[in-house]
Amino acid sequence: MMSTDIRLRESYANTLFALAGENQATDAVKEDLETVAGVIKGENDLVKFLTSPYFSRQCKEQLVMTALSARISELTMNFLMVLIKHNRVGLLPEIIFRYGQLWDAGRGCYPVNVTVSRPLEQGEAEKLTTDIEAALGGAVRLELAVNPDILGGVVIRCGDKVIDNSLHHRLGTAVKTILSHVKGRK
Amino acid sequence: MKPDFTEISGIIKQEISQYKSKLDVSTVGRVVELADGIARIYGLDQVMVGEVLEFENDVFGEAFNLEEDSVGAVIYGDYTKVREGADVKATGRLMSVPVGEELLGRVLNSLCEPIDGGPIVQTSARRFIESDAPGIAYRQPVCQPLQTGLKCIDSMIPIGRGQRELIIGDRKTGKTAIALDTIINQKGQNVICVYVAIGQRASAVAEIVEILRKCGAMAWTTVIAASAAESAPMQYIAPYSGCALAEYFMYEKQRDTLCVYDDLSKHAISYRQLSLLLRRPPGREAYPGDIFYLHSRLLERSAKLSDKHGGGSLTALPIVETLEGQISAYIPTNVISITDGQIYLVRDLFHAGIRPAVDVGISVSRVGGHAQVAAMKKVAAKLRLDLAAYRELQNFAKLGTELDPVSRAQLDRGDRMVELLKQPQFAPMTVGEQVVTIFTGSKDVLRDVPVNKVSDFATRFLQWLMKEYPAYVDEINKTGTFSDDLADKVTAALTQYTSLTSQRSQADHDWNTPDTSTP
Repeated sequence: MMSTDIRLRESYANTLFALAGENQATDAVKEDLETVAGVIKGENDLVKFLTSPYFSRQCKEQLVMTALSARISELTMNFLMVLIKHNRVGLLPEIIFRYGQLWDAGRGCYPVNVTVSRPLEQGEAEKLTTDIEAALGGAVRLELAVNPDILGGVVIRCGDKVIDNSLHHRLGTAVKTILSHVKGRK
Repeated sequence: MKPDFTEISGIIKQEISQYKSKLDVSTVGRVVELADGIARIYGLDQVMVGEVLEFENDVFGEAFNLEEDSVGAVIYGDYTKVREGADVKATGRLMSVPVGEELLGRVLNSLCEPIDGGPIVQTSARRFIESDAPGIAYRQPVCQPLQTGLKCIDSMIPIGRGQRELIIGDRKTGKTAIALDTIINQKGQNVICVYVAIGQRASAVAEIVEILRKCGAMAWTTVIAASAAESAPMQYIAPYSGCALAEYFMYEKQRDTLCVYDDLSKHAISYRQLSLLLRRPPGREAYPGDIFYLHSRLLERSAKLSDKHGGGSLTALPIVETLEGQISAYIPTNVISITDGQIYLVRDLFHAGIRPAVDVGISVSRVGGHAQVAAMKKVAAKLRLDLAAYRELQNFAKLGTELDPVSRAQLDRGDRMVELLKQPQFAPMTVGEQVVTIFTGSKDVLRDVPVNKVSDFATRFLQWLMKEYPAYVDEINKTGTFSDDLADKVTAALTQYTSLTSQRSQADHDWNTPDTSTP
């Protein structure tokens, strides 16, 4: 992703969010975008088709209309049409991601990514959520990921902040410390 | 390398006893764009300009541009190890390099890591690469000379400790040679030298290191090399690292230091590359707007500290390469205006065999005169004016006009002076030797020596004098003065030597005359 893409993504996502806010439809649009995201995920070739210069604009619009008109609101549909018109469909996943962030922020909710080494047991996820909510002082939307590579412990990521308390990280630090000592003596 | 396991278990024990479970909280961003040692990062909202960033695989960088929605960063080290989309950690630190006595005699890269194949060094101290120049209260005027060991420079363009003297000239005019001679001449002078090679061929740097090693100069020298193969960011920070190393000796050890930046035109070019890749707007010759500050903040760190602050010094010898003698180009004018004088080398003189090819007319030293040794001041006072008059007369004589005997004599004298100031490479002279040589030139004795034999004559006389009357040169070296009494003694020795040589050459002539009668 280029830095200009970031700027474009911001503009599109912000505009859509503002427009949805005016129509009291932020939640509806959020749902719509999740639907679109699901479709994109399921059909890998869809974005390729929509960004390809080989097909005409009408052709692309037709396809999106028939595929999605029954499932998403008019506002979201119009937004997709604008994206097709300006040939910015490639940015769609990023725009959906950014819209999600704005939506969370609007509700005073922090999206938090938590990585653990094994699937959590019953009640653990709830406990983690309440603990993080208490620490941050606001609602939390927990996104759990399981990655056996971290060996143990937990990595919590909230926006730019990362709390790395994994065994993998601690061992890495210990190895670096020992190596720096050994190199120094030699 | 096979680690010693008992040692390691000791370290682990120590670590365990001091171990406190502290939470590792860090700020991270994501690399969105990566090319040519430059990264654009999304996130890192709290990052500060100049903050060190930690990329994956132990690669480090520095935040340069803080933009509305991204951060432009330069990467120090191997940027091919960084991937797009990877996490970047803000460390909350400023860029620093290891410094210390352990680094003397070593060849280092821009991050002060050894690249000479020798053992890894662990130094006790670190210094920030960028640091503020000392203020007025910290300084004192330049008062001690820094001897280059070159007659033409020490006599007419004297450099003081703490001065910034630019060496400027076209390619292949002997700029580096002057800097190397100066480093070699610091033997026993208690000066720590740092030679920073920026954007040079790696083979040229290897050659320089070899020369310094052969001359035994590596004992007091550190070489920092950012060759042309290094990325632009590495070339960009090299002089600042070198300066930080020299500053350590100046501030912490109260030592005199000499820092050679070879050369700042390449440094400017690498900074231009970096700036353009970071999309900073280009200005004159496509250099960015802060190109002046780039060099001024580096050279301003040179100083002679006041006695209250230890009295250490940092002398800078920046080198700038010109194209076709154009000193009015952008970078040369910038650096000329920052430094306290310049040694201007001319290609025509170089090809005419006048080496070092210093153009005395436009070379100046703005502050070094105060620091010149009294003995040198005495003999060299008239030299500069004489040579200027000689050059003027030489131009006039080219017109083919008949010259009066006075002008003729002056021209002859000038020719001999120029010959006398020639000096081979890697043969620096002590002050005493220089004073005696220049004094010889001021005497009439040379009038009888053919112009092409002058240099030879002076060398031989000096050798003879050092053998017969070593006390004379020693006295000048020790006291720094050249009394009238001593001048008379040297004159007497000179007379003795000339009579001796004239007898000998007479004898040589008799013996060596080929016998034409035998076939």
